[in-house]
Amino acid sequence: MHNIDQASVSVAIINFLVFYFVHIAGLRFTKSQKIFESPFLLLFISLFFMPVWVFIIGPLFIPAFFTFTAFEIIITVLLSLIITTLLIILYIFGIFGMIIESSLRIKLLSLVFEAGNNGIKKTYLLNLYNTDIILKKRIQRLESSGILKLKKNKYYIAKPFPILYIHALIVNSMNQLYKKNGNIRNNIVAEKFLQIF
Amino acid sequence: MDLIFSLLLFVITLIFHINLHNFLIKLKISSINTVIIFPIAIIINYLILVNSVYYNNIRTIIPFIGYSLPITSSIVFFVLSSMYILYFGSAFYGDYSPSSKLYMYLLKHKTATYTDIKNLFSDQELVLNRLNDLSSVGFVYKKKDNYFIGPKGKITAKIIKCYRKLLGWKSSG
Repeated sequence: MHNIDQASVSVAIINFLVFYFVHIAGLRFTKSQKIFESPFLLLFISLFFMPVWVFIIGPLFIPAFFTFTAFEIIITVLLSLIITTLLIILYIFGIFGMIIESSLRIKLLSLVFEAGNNGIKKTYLLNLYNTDIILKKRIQRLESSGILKLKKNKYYIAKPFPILYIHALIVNSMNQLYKKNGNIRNNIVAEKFLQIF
Repeated sequence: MDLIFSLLLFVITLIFHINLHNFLIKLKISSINTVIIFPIAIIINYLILVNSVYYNNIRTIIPFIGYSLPITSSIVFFVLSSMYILYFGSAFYGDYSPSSKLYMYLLKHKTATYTDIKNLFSDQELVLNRLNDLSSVGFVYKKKDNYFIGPKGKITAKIIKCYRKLLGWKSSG
């Protein structure tokens, strides 16, 4: 195993851990509507300081760091940038975004859990959590981030947000690549979604 | 060199997964478990990068980019696979991010009233289908018209509750 491998991975993992703990600490002071802006801002700050991290962490973990050529140091910085970016993106979309913060399933699971041993009636659950509540929350998030604006009772895109477009594009490509499993509801929902494209 | 190898192997795994899934659909077998090939591919990727004498011989003859990077390459493979599995899961269950759907609609129609937006969604799509998915994997169970938490669901809900407490934020969903 080459020293560059060890140095890049060490720097990237420590940088990611710093990002994670700063993000967790910062969440306490972040308004819920702006919860998605903070990780992206932190991602850019983390990447900006990456070359500095390489010179601080590199020698700590890899004694041979001082023997690295300039080219090897550049490679180490580039690799650390790649790993850190990927880890942070996975955290933002996968753990923080998809699973913890905006997952509808997790919210539903929490509601059923909070109901305790008596369970929760379908009608009562739909009173607590329904299309209206879900949409209003999302519109509020998008509005407070400046992505959506309301004018004469009509919403429009005020600031392009390519991440949502890329997300839709990936799901759309997936639908075309993978044959449906014959589950009627999957097909109906997928067709409704594809009509938007 | 190692990164290129891992990216190539990732693409091969992806093509294999698409074909495997579509082949199983022809046999009327539909399963999310096909994603198991990704962790297997990560292990294979690492073992080849560390142990393959043939591969190591090729690597040493390439100047500049011939560094041995098994961990870096495996992490890149792992992250790409995880992202792919998350998106495959969304497509498999027929889930689409409501924000994304709303954004795409506005991109196409330029403007929309709240009623227009609301007509794009339904309680069935956003809530009941997802509850049924939770029920099919044993996280919740349904008795008459009531939903109850299952043992697996209880553990998951407790972990998430603790994590939220640690983060100190109440917003979700």
